[in-house]
Amino acid sequence: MRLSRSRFVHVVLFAAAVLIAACSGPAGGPVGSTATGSDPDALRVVTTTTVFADVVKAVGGRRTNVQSIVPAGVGPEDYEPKPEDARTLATAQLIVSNGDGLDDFLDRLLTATGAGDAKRLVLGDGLPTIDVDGEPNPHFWLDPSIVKTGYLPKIVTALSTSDPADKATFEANAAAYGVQLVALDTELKAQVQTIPAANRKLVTFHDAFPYFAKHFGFELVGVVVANVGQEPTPSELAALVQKVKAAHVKAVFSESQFNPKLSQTLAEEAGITHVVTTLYNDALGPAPADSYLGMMRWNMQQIVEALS
Amino acid sequence: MGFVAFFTDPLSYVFIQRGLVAAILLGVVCAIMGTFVVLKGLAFIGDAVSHAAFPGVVIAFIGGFPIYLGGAVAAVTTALLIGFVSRRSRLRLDTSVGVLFAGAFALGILLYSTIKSYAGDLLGYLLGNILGIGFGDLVQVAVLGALVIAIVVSIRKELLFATFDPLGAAASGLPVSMLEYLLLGLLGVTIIVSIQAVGIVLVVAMLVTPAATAQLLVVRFERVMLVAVVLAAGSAVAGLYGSFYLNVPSGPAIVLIETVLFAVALAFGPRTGLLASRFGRVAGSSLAG
Repeated sequence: MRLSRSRFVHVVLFAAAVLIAACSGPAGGPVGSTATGSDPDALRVVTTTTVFADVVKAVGGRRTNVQSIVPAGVGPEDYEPKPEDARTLATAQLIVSNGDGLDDFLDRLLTATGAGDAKRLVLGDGLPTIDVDGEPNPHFWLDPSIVKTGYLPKIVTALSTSDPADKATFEANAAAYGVQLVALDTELKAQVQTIPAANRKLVTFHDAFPYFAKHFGFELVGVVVANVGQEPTPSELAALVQKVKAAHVKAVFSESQFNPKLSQTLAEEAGITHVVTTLYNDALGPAPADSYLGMMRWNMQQIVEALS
Repeated sequence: MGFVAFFTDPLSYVFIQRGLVAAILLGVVCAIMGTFVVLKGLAFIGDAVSHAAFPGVVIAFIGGFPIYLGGAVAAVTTALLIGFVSRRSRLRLDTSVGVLFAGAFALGILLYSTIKSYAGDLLGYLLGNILGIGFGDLVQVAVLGALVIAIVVSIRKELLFATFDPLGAAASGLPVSMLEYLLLGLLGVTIIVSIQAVGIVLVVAMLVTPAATAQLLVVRFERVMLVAVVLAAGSAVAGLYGSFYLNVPSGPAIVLIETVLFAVALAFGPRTGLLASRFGRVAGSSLAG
């Protein structure tokens, strides 16, 4: 009864959303699209998240028109595709995703609509992974060195395959962006050094930071939820409280796309006064975290302030 | 582990203490309101009001007001509109619930799509978790509980008369429509406060299941309410302790215990269960009457 009712509800809502999408017309692109500054004949690239849209745009420049399916501020792991997303995908010449469980909604969407003639680029394919509970963790991009050596070459190859005439432009843009990534990395590593070594410990809401922690030398003490969409059990939460207390963690971080209440509960229980609810990770945030480089700087600044 | 330690060990965590207090309080409040919900055939209203809060949340975000306030205003407005539409159209309440719920949520989606800046998961921020209850939430829940219990207990006879026999109640001079609006308004407030504390699934179950179970066990309205309250509070305690020791999430554990109690009442209860059919005549005739 309950199930059939809620299914009925979803059908009604879906129908309403289709109607709204149909009325709003092609101008109403998703929030966070970086479609500005493109040539009229630019390659149409659709990415799953705003982070990838920003990086692809940095390589593609004016020769690409890049749009993200998941808007800024929304997590991709439990994203429910909307009818307008199918329309966005239908116009794509290249579809960029991450894989490894981050953006599985794309496969469901493509199964339903078909990819058409669009080429696919899966950024995480073939990258060395950090496995958590036997599953590869998908959050490669929070380590800027992986963006430079793992993502950028793949993006250049994929864009050049779709638009061979602009290969040199893509390569030059990627080289310039690579220089910025190296500068970012050096800057962030210097900031980490200002945190007392004993304080370099992270507790976050979901498991987004293993590559970040490994690269920048943080210890990951624990996460509130094992998988996005699950709830912690009271005994798991109690065990995490004990772990956090024992490790003398200075602050609890709650990524911006999640309700911070459980993280606040954890902090309060463990006697921690500092809860940071403005880390951006799976999606870009408001300025200054509205680009990949800006988001990384913003996050590190928040972490340094909380742990120093 | 000793008998006492079994109960006191989990209580060394503040989040368990708060969860327990909130679950019992909300269980009692929702069971009281749920008795009316089940009688009036409004089982769907928990889902409906929670989704109808969405446009309020979006408007509050755009206008720069607290989003909880926006959600609460939209929830109560929708609950009252459900009564108004049903009165005007002479459609059944659940039909009016269906129409308004879909319309309000669609309005929310439409308004949300007009936000071009960063907005995040607005509705998600409204949905609580029983383990994440803050002190402020607990105060809200306590105030809500006092309000609902005071109002319903003091005018329960009038509410009952107006609910069961609107024509007779109107003939005897009761303000039937005002009473219905009061009930719907209280429901709106109950649902929105409960959702912020413990999330949608638990609220929907708390509103319907204990009252439905109680109806299988006893007949008189006040007894239904009392049994529903006891079942709800008992399920809250058993569910929270059970989830602690069995290492499962607390909200679903509470809901499942309520559901199992319903199934047990259905199978073995004096009115509908095996016992009733075994000693068929008396129970059957009392049901028919």
